[in-house]
Formats: sequence, C-alpha cells, structure tokens
Amino acid sequence: MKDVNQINADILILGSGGAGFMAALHAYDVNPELNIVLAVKGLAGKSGCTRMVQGGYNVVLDPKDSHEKHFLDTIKGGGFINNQELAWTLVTDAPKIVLELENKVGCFFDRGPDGMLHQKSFAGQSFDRTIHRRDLTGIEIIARLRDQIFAKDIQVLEECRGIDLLTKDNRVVGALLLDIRSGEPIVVNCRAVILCTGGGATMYKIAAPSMEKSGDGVAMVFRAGAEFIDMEMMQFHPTGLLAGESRLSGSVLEEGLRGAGGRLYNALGERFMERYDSERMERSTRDQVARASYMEIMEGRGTQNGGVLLDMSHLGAEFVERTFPGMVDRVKDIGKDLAREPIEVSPTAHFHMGGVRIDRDCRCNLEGLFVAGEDAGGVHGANRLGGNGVAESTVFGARAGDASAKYVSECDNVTIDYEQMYYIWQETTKPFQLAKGEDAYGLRNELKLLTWEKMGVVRSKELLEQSLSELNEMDERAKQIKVSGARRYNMEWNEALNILNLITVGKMIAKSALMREESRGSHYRSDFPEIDNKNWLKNICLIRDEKGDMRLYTRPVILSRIKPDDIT
Amino acid sequence: MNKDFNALAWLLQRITAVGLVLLLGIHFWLLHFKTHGEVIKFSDVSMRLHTWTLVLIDICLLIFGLYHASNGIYSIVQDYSVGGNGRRVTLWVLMCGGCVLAIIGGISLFRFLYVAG
Amino acid sequence: MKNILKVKVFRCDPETDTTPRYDIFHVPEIKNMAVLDVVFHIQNNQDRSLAFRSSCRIGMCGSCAMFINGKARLACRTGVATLGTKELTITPLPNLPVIKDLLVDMDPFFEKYEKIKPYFIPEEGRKDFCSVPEGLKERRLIDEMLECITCGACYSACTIVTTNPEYLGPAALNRAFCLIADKRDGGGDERLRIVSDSNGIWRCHGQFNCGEVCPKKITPTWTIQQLKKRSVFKMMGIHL
Repeated sequence: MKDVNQINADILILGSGGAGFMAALHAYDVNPELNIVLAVKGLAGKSGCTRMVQGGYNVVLDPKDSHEKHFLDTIKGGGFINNQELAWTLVTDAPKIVLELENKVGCFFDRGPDGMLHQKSFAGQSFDRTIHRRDLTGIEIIARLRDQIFAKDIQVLEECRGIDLLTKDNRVVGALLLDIRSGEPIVVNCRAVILCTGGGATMYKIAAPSMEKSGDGVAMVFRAGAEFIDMEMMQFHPTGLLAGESRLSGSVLEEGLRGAGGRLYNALGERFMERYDSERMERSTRDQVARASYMEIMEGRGTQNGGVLLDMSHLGAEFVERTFPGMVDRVKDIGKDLAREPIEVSPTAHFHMGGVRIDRDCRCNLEGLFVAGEDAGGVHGANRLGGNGVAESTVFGARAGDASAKYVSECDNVTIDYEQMYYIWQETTKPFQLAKGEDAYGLRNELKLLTWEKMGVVRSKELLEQSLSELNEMDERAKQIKVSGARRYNMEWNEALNILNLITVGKMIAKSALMREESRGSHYRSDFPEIDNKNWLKNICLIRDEKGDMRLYTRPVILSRIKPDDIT
Repeated sequence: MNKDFNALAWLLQRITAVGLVLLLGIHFWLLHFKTHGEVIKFSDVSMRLHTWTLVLIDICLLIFGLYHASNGIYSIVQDYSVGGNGRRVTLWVLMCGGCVLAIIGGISLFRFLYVAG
Repeated sequence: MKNILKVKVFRCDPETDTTPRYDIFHVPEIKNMAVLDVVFHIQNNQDRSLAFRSSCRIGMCGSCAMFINGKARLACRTGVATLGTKELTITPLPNLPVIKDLLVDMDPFFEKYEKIKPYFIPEEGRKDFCSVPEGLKERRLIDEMLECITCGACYSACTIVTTNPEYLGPAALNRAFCLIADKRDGGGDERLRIVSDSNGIWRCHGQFNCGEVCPKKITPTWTIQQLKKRSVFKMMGIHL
C-alpha cells in the first residue's frame, strides 16, 4: 500500500456543527499553540443540523426565570431519566455561552421592546426563554461560528469523513479519514479526538436532518468500544413537511408554529389533540403530538398522502408572514401558502437523544475521546425539549474543547497502529473489489421503510424482533454492496459506507427499544403503553462485547437533584 | 495605491459625469441653437470664445472630459486585472497624456481671448 | 401520463477528461420535484458516476448551488415546475474551478471571504448584552443582508469576478458591510480599508446580477454602494 497521507495533530475534531466549532474555538483559546484539525463530511459549517435549527435556543436570562425552572422543564420533558448533572450543567452554562455567542462570536439575536434579547414561548417550557433570530436561528449561530474559525490557525479538512477511530493500548490515538474528493485515505495521529458528527435519524423514511448525516460517529465509536446510553430514544418531530416523493419531505416546520397557536386537524376536520392532551392541545411536548399524529394516520384518519393538517390561517396571514418568513417561503416551493391554508405534515425522525455516555466534561469510557452534541447521550433523557438541542451542542462543545485542551497538555502522543489502519482501509475499499453484489440505493430504501414501519413512533415486541432480524440480514447484505467507477467523489461508495453505519445504529436502537418494556418520552410500546417508574426508572446502556456483538444492561437513574415524587 | 485615491477618483468620476451632462448640454445648445446658418464657421467659434465665460465653460468641458475618459479607461484596465506593471504604465500614460492634452487644449482655448477678429 | 424531463447535464472529470461533454438523461417528473430531486434520480438510477454536492435540501446550507437553465440557483429551492419548460440544462457554477461534474471548488470564494476578516471583532470591555431598540432602522439595514448562506450564486453571476480574478466579489463585500455597519464590532476601520482596495468595492459597476440570483433576496450591489459611500465620507474626513 503506497504511502498514506498522514497528519500529526494535538486534537482532531470530527464534525462542524455547533459542537465541533465551539470545541475548536475553545480549545484554541485555551492554548493557541495547539495543532487543531477539524474534519467535516461536507463543507465547513454547511453540513449537519445546527444550521437547520429554526426555533431557537433555551436560556435563562430573565431575573423572573431560574436555572431550577429550566432544569425542571428539561427533566420533566426527559421523562426523568436524564443525567441530572448533565442537565444541570446545560442550564447553568447556557447563559454564559449565549453571552459568548453574542459578544465574542458576533451572533445577533432578535431584540424585544426593551432592547434586550427577545425570548419567545416554546412547547414544554414553564417560562418564555427561547432566544432566536427570526425563524432561522441556526444559520446565524453556525455562520458566525464558522467566521470565527477563519480568524484562528485551525486546519479545516472539508469533505473528509471519519471512517474509524484508531486505538492503541486502550486509548484513542487518532482516526482514519476518507478524503471524499480524491477517494484517498488520510490518517490523523493525535492526542485527543472530539466527536461531534451528529446522529442517524436519516435511517427513517421520513426524516428531518441533512442528507449526509448517517450516524458515522456513533457507529465508529461503537466499534471502538464506547459505552452508550438511551439509544432507544429517537425523537420524532410532529410537523415535518410532506412533499410527496421529493426530498423536501421530512424537513421540519418549527415548533414555534404550534407555540404561536397553530392547530392540527385530521382528515375528518377534527382537532385530534383534544383526545390525547386536552389541556395543552397542540402545545404539548413533541413526543405526545408526534404520537397523536402517527396514531391518527395509522388509524385511517390521515390525509391521502399519509399526513395530518397544520393550520396557521386563523392567526392572520400578516402575523404568520411576519413571524415565520423562512417557513412561509419554503412552503411556497411546494405551491402552498402557510399563512393562508392548511399544510400537510407528518411526524418526522428528527433527533437522537441517545448516544455515548459522557460526564460533564464530555469524557467517556474511552481514554482520549471526548463526545459532544447529538452523539452524546444523557442530557435530554427520553425526550428533548425544542430549543435545548442547539443549547446542548454549544454548551458541551465548549466544554469538550476546554477539557480536551487541558487533557492534551498533560498527556503524551502515542503513535498509531499501522496494521490496524491498513485493515480498516482494506474493509473500506472492499465494495470496489466485488464482482457483483448488493445495490446500495435499493438497500437504503429498504432500510428506510423497515425502520419507519417497525421501529418508529410506535413499537412492540413483535415489530422490534422483526426489525432486529431484518437488520441483521441487511447488515450482511450491506457488507456485500458492490460499487463501481473511480474513487474520486464517488457518491455510491459513500452511500455504501453510510448504510453500514446506519444499520449499526439501527440495531442499537432496536435492541434498546426491545429491552425497555414501558413507554416513556419518545419511546412508545403498544404492548407496554404506560410509564413504569417502579421498574424502569433506569437508563439502558449498550457496549460492544469481545465478539463484536451488543451487550445491554441497565443503570439506575441517579436522582441527584430531584425525584419524580418531588413533583406532583 | 493609496486607498483614499480610489475613493477620490470614484467621487470625481461621478462629479465629472454630472458636470459633463450639463456642459455637453450647453455645448450642444450653443452649437445647435446659437449658430446662425447651417455650417459652423471658424469666425463664429472665434467670436463666441472672446468671452471669458464661454472659454471657461469649454475649459471645464475639456478637463472634465479628459478626466472622465482617462479614469474610465483606467477603470476598465483594473476590471480586467491587467498585471501590476501594465497597470502602472497605463496609469502614467493616461495621467501624462491627459495633462499634455489638457495643456494643449487649454492654451488653444485661451488663445481665442487674444486673437483679433 | 407522466411528464418526462429532458435533462442535459455537464460532465467532466478533469483527472481523466480533456474536454467536458453533456450527457442527456430522461427523468420522470414527480410532484413537487426540485432540480435536486432530478440530479438525485439520475445519480441513483441512471448514472452513478455523476457527482454533485448537497446537504440540507431546504435552502439553508447553500451547498447545492448550480447553473440551471441559464441562471445560478439552489437546486433544492428550484422547482422544476417553475422553470416553465420540460428541458433542463444543468452546469456547474461559473467562475469557480470544476472538481468533477457539477461539483465546484469553493476555495477561491472563501479565500476572498476570508480576506475581509468576516469574523466579529468584539469591542473592548463589553460585559453585557448590547441593548438594541427593537426595529432599529440601522439594524434593519444589516438584518436583511445577514441572511447570506455563502452559496456562491452571486459570485458566479458577477461578470467582474469573471474578468478580474482578484475582485473580492459580492458575497465578501456584503459580509464586510454587515460587520462595518454593526456598532458592536470593533474592526470597522480596518475592514473599510481592506474593501477600499482597487480589487474591492470600486470594481462594482452596479450590474445587479448578484441581486437577481441571490436565493435569500440580498442585493450586494446596494451594500457595496453603502460601502462606497462610507469610503468617500472617510476620505473627506466625515465619520458616520
């Protein structure tokens, strides 16, 4: 094998969302001499979901609000299985991170009549604390963060995806990357890796995230032996736009629509939320509304295209156009007017609460690895509140940057195991060697349908067991995907790699879902429809065993700050 | 290049543009309406240029026109990213050429004030 | 009877091809079809070697900008129905080097973007959030222009970018304005000096091509005019 392009660095960051950029900036600020490399699957700041955040960022700024209130909202929303220390860290760090975003990074959030940051109402919150920039908050945050990277001496590798972590003596010592443009490998030897690649919600037929996301980070650290938590918790956002077979389908119409008073109707013209949460109606939490919509659709009261109707028209067209300009514009692309007529929506796979089990400084059970953002688990428990996602990625990205910078100042560099690296590369290029094999795109479509029908919004023992056996079969088939053509920017090859990772994450979800015999937050079992605090106030953890299979076990939730009984 | 030079040049280009509209307007009006007969005779021009006012108007027209044209040409040269040396040479040719033409033209115009007839 | 689109796609792999070519594909039209759906259909079902870039598919990331039927547009936000014809011609963005097929190298674009110091430079000593009256006029001026998603459409539409490879371009200058006009930023003077270079704002001749193609309805011509105004006032010693 000819010489592989090698980069020696102090810190390698995989991913350029809110977490990745904050980690880079913070690590740099701790020590500008550090050699920091940031690798992104697409173009820097343009891939991933931080950019797609519409609603806003939850933060305690008003003296009438309190960290305790935000914490309580987060824990209640999370069905009480959140890691309370992580949740507390989120709510207490958020104010200083937001100040940093405004005063140091240069974001400008919308102002209210008093000249201070406007905080709007968002579902599941006891106080109006969601700051925003119009209805496209993510673009502002990510674009300003990306601009700051230009000012620092940080090496950015674009269109370079992480293939696998490289480990030696139980420590993460680097990673093998694929330079998508050239089709060649790049090996990075470093002292710490920060993982911020996002989740794998794109395995579902109707999904919100950007298309290149495929749980690469989750799958690769699973292979490296990381411990995971809450993998069964996949959030389905209730209002994903339906646009037929177009790829526009699944994109989120933000929660603020419901927060402002939007109404949901089934095909019979009923405001069906009356039957599921008559007190909060459409302003109930995402899991409730998504499940309600799903059930209406499954029970035959959905529209012809398999959705329900979201109606904003009663709020006045001028109000809707003024408050949600981005969404009104986007809906026009499918020939509809969000301000004046009902729009077809459906639950859409959105965010993975589960992920690598971390502590407050983003450390996990693997030495040298830090995880922040959607890849990490425990902050949100069984269901994420809208507005807490971008808060999590920026807060914990910053912490990962700080912690890793400190860590690398205290540890030595360890060289990589070249045998390990060559083996991984052989496996990665295998699709080109097969004379005939599976079709990547056919398999992808099968996966999307399977997950949607059998391990989606509503689960059961029977469906989950079927899911697992089909996923196992698909896994074998995925290893036989044949790819042809040149390696340079080969989209088919990248799709084959995506599918392998998505199947791995899918299995983790299915197994965890099978184990949790109750319903809580986003995880709903039709065979165990009630919440069961007596038996299930626990987290389901998952790790790779010696044979490469998944071993599952539970950990009781540490109720360090609040107990379910404290709230009546 | 001094950054302020760019701003000044740009501003003068706009000022001369407005000026040219006015001055050309006057020039056309003089030539079309104030000329008696169908052909413009040298004696008519000579008579008109006996007054300071009209000489000054024509001098302004000359200088504004030379500036606007030279700066315009230089701007086009910059638009096509001509190399450093080419740019500098063009700039000096235009500046010197412009000055020379302005002087020649100016002297010619002033002469009219002192010529008999 | 399904509509069939006739799609002409630019193909070139600089590593192997000496000249580019056009391949013609026939694509069945689906409801709400965006041009992005068209290229995905071709790549998934007809020619897997086709290369193009995309990510969010809802007009937020700017990754999928292409030259579609004679104009720079975002493939995900261009509905096939809005093109008014069943014949599509798709080429990569002009003014940028081609990596492969519809994929362009955005590095020259971002190198110019970087030149104007696109990052916020905080003023010394600010401890709290800046109080800004709601709906402040000067803030409104910036707000529209802040929507830029750096897709490169304006850069490829500008003919001065074509003739002068050193020209900073509409996106970079627009970003510079957003920061120069932002009272919270401390780097305004330096940035104004950078954009007042011969290859900066003065190269703009008011074509408005940029405004015509911008998917976020930004008009860099206008912001560049504001920068020219500021530069002239600075030259005269008046500080805004």
